[in-house]
Amino acid sequence: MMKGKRFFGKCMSFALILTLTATATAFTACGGNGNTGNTTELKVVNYNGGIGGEWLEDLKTSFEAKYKDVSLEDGKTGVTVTIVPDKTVVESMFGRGNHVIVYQCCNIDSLRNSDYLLDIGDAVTGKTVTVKDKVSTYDTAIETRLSDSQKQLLSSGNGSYYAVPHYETFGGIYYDVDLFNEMKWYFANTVNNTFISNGSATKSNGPDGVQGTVDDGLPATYTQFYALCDKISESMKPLISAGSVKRYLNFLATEAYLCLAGKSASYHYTLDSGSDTVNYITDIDAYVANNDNGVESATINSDTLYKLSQQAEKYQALNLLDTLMSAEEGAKLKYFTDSSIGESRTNTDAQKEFIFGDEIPAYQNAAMIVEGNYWVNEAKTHLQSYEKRHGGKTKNYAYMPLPAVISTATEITPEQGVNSYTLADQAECYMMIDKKSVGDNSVLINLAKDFIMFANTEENLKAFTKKTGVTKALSYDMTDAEVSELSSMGQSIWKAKKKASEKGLLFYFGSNNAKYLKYSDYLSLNNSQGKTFWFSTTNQTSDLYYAFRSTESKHTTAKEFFRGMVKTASDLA
Amino acid sequence: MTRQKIFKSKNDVFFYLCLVLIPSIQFAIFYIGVNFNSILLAFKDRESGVADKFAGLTNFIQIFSQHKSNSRYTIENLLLYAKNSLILYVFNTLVGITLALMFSYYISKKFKGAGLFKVFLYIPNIVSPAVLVIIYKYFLEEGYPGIVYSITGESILGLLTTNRFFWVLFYSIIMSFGTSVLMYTGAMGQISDSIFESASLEGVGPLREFVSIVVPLVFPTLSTFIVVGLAGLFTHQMNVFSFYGESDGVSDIWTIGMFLYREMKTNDAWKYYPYLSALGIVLNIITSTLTFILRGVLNKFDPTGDR
Repeated sequence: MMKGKRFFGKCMSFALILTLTATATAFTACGGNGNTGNTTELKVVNYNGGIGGEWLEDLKTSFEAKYKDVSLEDGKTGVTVTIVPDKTVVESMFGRGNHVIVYQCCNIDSLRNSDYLLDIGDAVTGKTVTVKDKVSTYDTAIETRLSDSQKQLLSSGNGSYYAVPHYETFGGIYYDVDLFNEMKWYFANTVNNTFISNGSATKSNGPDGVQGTVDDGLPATYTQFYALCDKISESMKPLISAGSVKRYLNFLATEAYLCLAGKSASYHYTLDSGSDTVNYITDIDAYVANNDNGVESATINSDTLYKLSQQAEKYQALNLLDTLMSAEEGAKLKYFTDSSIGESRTNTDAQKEFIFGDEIPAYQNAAMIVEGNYWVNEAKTHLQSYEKRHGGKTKNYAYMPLPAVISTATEITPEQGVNSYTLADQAECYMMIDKKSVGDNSVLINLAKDFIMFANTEENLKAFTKKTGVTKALSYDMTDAEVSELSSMGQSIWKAKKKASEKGLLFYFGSNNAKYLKYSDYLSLNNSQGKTFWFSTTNQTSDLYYAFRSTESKHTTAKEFFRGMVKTASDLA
Repeated sequence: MTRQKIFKSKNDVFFYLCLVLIPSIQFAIFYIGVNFNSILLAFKDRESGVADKFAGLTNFIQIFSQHKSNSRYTIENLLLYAKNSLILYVFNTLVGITLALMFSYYISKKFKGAGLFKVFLYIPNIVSPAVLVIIYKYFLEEGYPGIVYSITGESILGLLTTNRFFWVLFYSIIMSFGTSVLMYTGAMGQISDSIFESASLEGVGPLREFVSIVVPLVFPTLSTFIVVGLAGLFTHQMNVFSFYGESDGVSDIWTIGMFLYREMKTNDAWKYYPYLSALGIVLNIITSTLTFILRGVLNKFDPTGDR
C-alpha cells in the first residue's frame, strides 16, 4: 500500500513538473507589445537572403538617431528598431508581433485578402507623417515612384495601398569582365562571327545593335551565343549555376524570353496589347522545322490571353536551355561545370567557385554565372577574401544582355536589337505593416509608416543601392559620380535598369485585374516554387534543368515541353 | 485482493483535474478544433477576392480525376507519390526493421564494440537532420567521386546525381535506426537470462537464438513499429525536402507526405487548401482502415499471445 502511494506521488510530481514546464514554454513564445527598456520598440522582420541585413542596420541607425530625444510613450525616450532576420514563408511572419515586414515572394493579393496587411495609403500617397507629436515631412511621395502596374497591384483604389516595393531581382547571366577582356571573348565587327584579336580592335554592335555602347562585342544572336560558349569551352567551362538549386536555370530562360519578347511580355499582366500583335505558335512541329511556318499573329486581350502560352519567344527561350543542356561530354555537360550538375553545391558555393575557379583545385573555372543580380552582395565575403589575397585587386563582373532577335546574321541593327535590355522583377519583394501586430496602437502604426517612408527617401534608396549593389523596384536617380562609387556589378545593373526604363522595357508584373489575380501563379514572373510560368504538363515540372537534362526521368525536348505548356481559352477563362 | 484506491479524497481528484486541464485544452484546440476546421474546409471552394463557397463533394471528386485549375493535382501524380510512399514503407519494414533487430540483438548481447555501435546508431537522433543531409550529400557528391578519382583517376558524377531515389531512400532507412534500436534493445533486455542460458545448454547458436527466441519475444514491440509505420504511410516525407527543398523537378521521388508538405508551403497555397483538406480526409480513411486490419492480423499471429 505504501509502495502504491509512493508510486502515485512520484507520478503526480512528474506530471506537475511536466505541465508547468510546458506552460512556461508556451508563454515564452508570447511577444508582448515590444518593450525594450526605456525606448519604444519597432520590430522589423527582414528576409535575410541575397540582400542580407547590413543595409537595414544602417537604416536602423539613422532612424533611431531621428527619434533619439523623442518620447513616444510615457516613461520612454527614443526608438529601438529590432531587426528579426528570417527566411521562412512570408505568411508565417504575420501575427507574431513584428510590425514591419520586409520580405520577398509576397503575393500581395493573397496577403490582403487574408487581412494581414495594414492600409498604408497615407504613407504612400502623402509626404507627412505624425508620430505622437513628432512631424516628419519628406520631399517626395512614394506613390510618385511607382509604375502604373505597381499602383494597380498594391492599391485597392481610393488611395489605399498595402505595400511598398522593396528590391528587384533580375535573373540571367553575369560574366567575368576581366576574363572576357583577357581572353578577348568579344565578337569583332566582321562578317564571320569571329572574335577580336586584340584589345583595340573594333567590336561588333552587340545585342542592342548600337555601336559604342557597353554591350559591344557581346553575342547579339543565339548563333553567336553558342559560338561564344564553344570558344570559351576550349579553355574552361562557359557556365556555372547552383547545383543544389537547379531552379536558378529558370533565370536564364526567363531573361532569354524577356529579351526576345520585349514589350509583349507585359501583356501577361496588362492583358491588353492594343493593336500590337504577338507571334504565337499554332503548329510546333512545323515551327521547329521552319520558323516561318506554324506561327500566326494575334492581339492579346482577356479572351485571347491563352495565346501567350504559345508565344514563339517562349519556345525560343526553352530551345536555348535545351541546346545548352544537350551538349554533353559523356555523363557531363559541355557548357556547365560539374558542380552545376551535382546536387551538393549551393548558390553561394557556386559563387565561390565562380570567383576562385582558377585558384582552387577542387573547382572548375567558369566564365559566366547564372544568377540573380543580388549575387554579388551574397558573395561579399568571398570577394573581400579575393581582394585580400590579391593585394586589393577587385574582380569585375557585369550583367550580360541576351540576344533580342532570332537570327543567323553576324551583325544586327538597332531596330532588331530594340528588345535588348528588357528586364522584369522576378522576386516580388515588399515592405508591409502587419495589421494584427500594430493593432490600434496609433504610435506604433504611425512609427511603422514613418519607417517605411524614411526607408524610401531618395537618399535612403541610393544608400541601399550603394550598400548592396542592387536596385530598388522604384523610380529614383543617381548621379554619374554616385554610380561610379558602385562596384562594377552595381554599375552594370544600374545602367541596365536605366536603359530598360528609358526604352519602356522595365516591367513589374502585377495588376488588379480579376483574371490576373485568379491566374497569378501562372501569369507572374516570380521564380519561386509553385509558380507555373514555365510549367509543362508533358513532364509535370517547372524546373527546366530536370526537363532538359538527359539523365533525368523528366527529360524531354524543348518542343515537347512547349507542347505541354500550351493553354486553351477554357484554361484561362 | 482488493484494488488500491488512487484518489483518496476530493483534494486528490481536484489536484488531478488541475493537472490534466491544460493538456486537455491544448488537445481540444489543436487537435479537435484544427481538424474540425480542416474537415469543413474540404467542402469549400476558394477563389481570389471572394468569400469561401460551399462546394459539396467537388474536391473529393477532383482527387480521383484532376483539380479544375491546378494541372499538378492529378490522380496520376497522386498514385506516383503513393507508390513511393509504399516503397518507402516496405523497405523500412523489410530492410530497416530487420537490420534494426539485428543491430539491437548485437548490442543487447554486448558483443565486441556494442557500445560504440549504439552511439553511432543513435547519432542521427542527436545531430540536426539538416546537418546530416549536408554531410551525406557532400559524401555522395564530392567525397565518393573524390575517392574514385584518387584511386582510378576517373572523374565521375556523384551517386546522388546518378541514382537519386535509391540514395534518398537509403538515407531514410539508416536514419530510422536510432529510436527503433533503442526500443528493441530495451525489449530484448527484458528477456530473462535463464532462457538464453537454457538455449545455450541446448546448443542453440546466435542465429537460431535470434530467430526462434528473441524475435518472437519482442514481437509486441516489433508489431508496434510495423503498425505505427503504416499509420505514418502518407505522412512520411522521406527527407526529400531536406535534400531538394520544394523543387518539383524531383517530384518523381516525392511521397504523399512530401507532396502535402510542399503544397502547403508554396505561394498561393491558400487557394488549394480545400483540395488538400479533402485529400487529407481520404488518406486518413485509407490509412486508418489499413492500420486496423494490419493490427488485427499481427495480433492474430502474435507468438507471445499477450494481446
